[in-house]
Amino acid sequence: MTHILQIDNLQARVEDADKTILHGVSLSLGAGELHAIMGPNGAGKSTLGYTLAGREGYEVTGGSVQFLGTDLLAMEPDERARAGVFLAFQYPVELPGVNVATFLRTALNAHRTARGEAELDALAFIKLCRAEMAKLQMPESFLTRNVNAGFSGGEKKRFEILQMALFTPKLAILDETDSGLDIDALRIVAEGVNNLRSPHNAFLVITHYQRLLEYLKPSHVHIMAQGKIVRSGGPELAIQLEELGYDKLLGQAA
Amino acid sequence: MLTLPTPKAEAWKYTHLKRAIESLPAPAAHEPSLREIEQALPIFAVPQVVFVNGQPVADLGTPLPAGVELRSLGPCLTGPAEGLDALDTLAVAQGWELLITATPKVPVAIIHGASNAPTLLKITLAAGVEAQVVEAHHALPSFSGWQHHATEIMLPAQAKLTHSVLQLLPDTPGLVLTRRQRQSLAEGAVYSGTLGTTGGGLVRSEIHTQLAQNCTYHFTSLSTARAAQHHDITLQTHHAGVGNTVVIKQRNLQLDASHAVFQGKFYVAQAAQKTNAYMHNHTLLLSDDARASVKPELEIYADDVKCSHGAASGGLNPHHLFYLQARGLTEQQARALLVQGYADEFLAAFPATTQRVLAARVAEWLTGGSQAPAPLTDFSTEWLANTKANPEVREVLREFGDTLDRPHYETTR
Ligand SMILES: Nc1ncnc2c1ncn2[C@@H]1O[C@H](COP(=O)(O)OP(=O)(O)OP(=O)(O)O)[C@@H](O)[C@H]1O
Ligand SMILES: [Mg+2]
Repeated sequence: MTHILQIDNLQARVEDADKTILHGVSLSLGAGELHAIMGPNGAGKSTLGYTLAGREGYEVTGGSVQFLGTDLLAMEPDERARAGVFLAFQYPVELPGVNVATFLRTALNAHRTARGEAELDALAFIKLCRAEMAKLQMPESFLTRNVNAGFSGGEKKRFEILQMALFTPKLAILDETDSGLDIDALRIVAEGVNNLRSPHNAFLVITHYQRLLEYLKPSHVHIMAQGKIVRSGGPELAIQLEELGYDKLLGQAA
Repeated sequence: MLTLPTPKAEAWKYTHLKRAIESLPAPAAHEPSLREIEQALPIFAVPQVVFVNGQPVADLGTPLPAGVELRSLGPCLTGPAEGLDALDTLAVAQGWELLITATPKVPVAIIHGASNAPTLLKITLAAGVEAQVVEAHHALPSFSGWQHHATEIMLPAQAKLTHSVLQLLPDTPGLVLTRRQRQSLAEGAVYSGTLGTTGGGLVRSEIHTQLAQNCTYHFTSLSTARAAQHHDITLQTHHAGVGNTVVIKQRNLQLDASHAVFQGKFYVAQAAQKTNAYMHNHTLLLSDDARASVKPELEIYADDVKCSHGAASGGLNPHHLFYLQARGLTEQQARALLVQGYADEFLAAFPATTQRVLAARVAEWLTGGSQAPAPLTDFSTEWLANTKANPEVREVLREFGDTLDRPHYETTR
């Protein structure tokens, strides 16, 4: 089977925390798969996402990451993005004065250029954008606003999914995209993810709740604790976790 | 012999005018033709008066709307007898007054062509009149030397002035512009000011404001500098009576080794109860060599007032940059988009008349500097460029409420 992502014994230090947070993470995502990562607060789930996206201050101290057969860790953050790695942020960033439409079009054209496709002109862009926004039930007035500025928590998450839908990544890492969403928005966002799933891409979905996974039907569920994957299984693991909680479930394992 | 200000004077602490003027090269002998001047003028698409060497040039102007009149004040001095310093003592060959006696239907633009002699303009509104006046300082790249300009604004009771001043100067190191604006607001008057500054060598812009009571004074200023350019904004606001509202926002965007100065002072007299005044300065330092000197001051003798000031300076936020890079933008593209965003936030405060002209100059500043990022495709500009021909785009634009059919004022030449 083709691997989209292969993480081998990844160790990473967070400079600001001045300590090692990832203590040897190994994961393998095949094409067409959707893996969920669950785990207690502070386990290192977001750290894994940032490390894969190449954030400054997240220093890899050991292990390797292959993305579509190439060394992901050797690439700059923007190269990773253009190569097809998308991180939906747990806390999306507000950009003062940066117009949403200008931002989306600049980013989309960066992706298209990297794939050897022609840039979209304003009209073609606006058509594509409208269609994707309609699917996510986002009013078009968002296009004239500034990126994430004054967006509600749920609107920020929807906007992350809109970007994912436009950029069509090979690997999407969703960091708690379900947090802060109302019940309808959760379904809409889940549909957004399911629409994009194909035999040619893979998803790594970080979540605390079983609810999103009911829609997404992950092929694999992993539990991360203290910077390591401590349990892996199928969808039933998430259900078990919901019933027992981390203490009991992981205590059982020990 | 003129005694030019030096940093020994508190008000000139960060701007060494004497040194700047004494080190200027001899002015170029070249006298540009009217044709050369005309071709380089900014286009505001409103009735305009163009001054060349302190005199209005009929061939470059357009008829003023009803209620607006320009009249000569004859020889005069740049400031009052009890002036602040040497800049108030300069002789003006012929000063001018823009007299607005009835609310005009359209804005009026005054373009000050660069001149080596001091110039003066009074803007006087009649009580209750509302007007929009643009003042643009303009110089050809061949111009060097010092120009001092004085503007005096009189707003009687309930008058309302929207005043947009552009100092759009070429990147000429040997160009010094000092501009001292004095304004007096009577009861209930409203002054909404914007100031855009780009280029030049040294530019000092002062605004001295006297507020009677229940006045509103809003001021937004955007400055972009590069190379060794020095932009100084000095604002003094005197609150004399009750109930004045003041909001001042100033932003500097700085490349290279440019230096920005912001001095802002609120003087609140004992009688000025219920004053609500705020000023903020933000400086974006886009190079390790760029500098900012910021001095906000409050001098308050009334007890029931809300007065505050804030200041922030620094480079681009690494979290913002990472978010954009994680979306596939190169560092250069990310920087350009963020800087453009900071500019756009302030450009939004400019009236339509001056907004596009200033936006174009800011874009030039952003893409043309020695360490400026790669040109950015600007969504709205490109979008608009297609509009005339494409009905579908018109429809999209209308849906977004874009003012595609923004009124253009007929000008006849
Ligand atoms: N920039 C930072 N400065 C200080 N500590 C940090 C920083 N980044 C991460 N950490 C620490 O690293 C650990 C892992 O954090 P991380 O955000 O990866 O957890 P998480 O699993 O995503 O938790 P949550 O479920 O709460 O989102 C935490 O103890 C956190 O405090
Ligand atoms: Mg997290």
